[in-house]
Amino acid sequence: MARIDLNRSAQESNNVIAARNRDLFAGCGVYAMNMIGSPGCGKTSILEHTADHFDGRVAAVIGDVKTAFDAERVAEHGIQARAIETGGSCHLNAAQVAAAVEELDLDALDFLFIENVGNLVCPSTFDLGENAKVAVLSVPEGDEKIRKYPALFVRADVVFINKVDLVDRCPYDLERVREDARKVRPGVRIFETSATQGTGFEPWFDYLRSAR
Amino acid sequence: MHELSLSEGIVRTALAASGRERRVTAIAVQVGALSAVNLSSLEFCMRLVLDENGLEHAEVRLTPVPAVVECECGLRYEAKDMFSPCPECGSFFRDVIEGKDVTIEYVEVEDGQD
Repeated sequence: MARIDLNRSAQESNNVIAARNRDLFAGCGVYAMNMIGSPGCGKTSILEHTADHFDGRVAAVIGDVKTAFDAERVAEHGIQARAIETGGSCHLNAAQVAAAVEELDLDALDFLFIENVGNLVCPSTFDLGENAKVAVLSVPEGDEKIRKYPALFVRADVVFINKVDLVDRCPYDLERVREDARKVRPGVRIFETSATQGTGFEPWFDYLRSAR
Repeated sequence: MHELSLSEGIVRTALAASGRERRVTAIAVQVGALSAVNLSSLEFCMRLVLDENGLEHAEVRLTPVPAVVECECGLRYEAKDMFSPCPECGSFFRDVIEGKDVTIEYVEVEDGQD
């Protein structure tokens, strides 16, 4: 037997393409974000508010197992949007994003949102070439999500707690969620929003302006 | 089930490293505690991909790697979970040094026939 030492990342082929994406975004002056959250937590609704606020300087690439529903939804807000139908895969990879952004006019953008497949596990470790990972939680999911899925929150630069208008109607300890987010990732930015009511977004818009 | 896409990448890398003319007999992978990878799922998926590539006899060797962090106070320690503070100074500000990655450590191949 002969042993060949490798010590290489199992995600090496993905990482190479992610680095290429990152260079492309930087070259075009685009700040890219990878949005990760459960199905139905409000990722697309947050995008809709953000698209309205930044008036066309935003584009979205949206992954779902099936359909282009969400991409069509955000395109109605007058922004460039592309769907990635994964066909069954539970997360996006860097090559899918590279192919989708080829069709976008990146020079016309300030922000690119990559909305990952609804899932708190698999998307968390795949680099897509983003500048920041944005984790989206929502109140009806329960207040233990950060404890249950730490791999995502260890990597998240931003945490949304969406659907905060329901906090009095759900058994939900908001303070505990804030504390957990800061324990796993001190310095994380937390935004508490209600996408259906359109509240809580101003600090997020300020954050985006300063992040770029 | 992202373990399947990871397994495909791992086996592809192992085959490329082996030069293909030499048979792969084992693949060793280190799996970090914060990698979001389930060990038994990864083993199951790697087995599947190896079988598909005619490598039914190749061994899968998985080693779990604990999360090692370095606190702002300088203490390096194994973090059993990420919700407990530094045992020395009580801070949560730390860098993850080890345990985020899935790393292909080595591939073992049959000796050349010549």
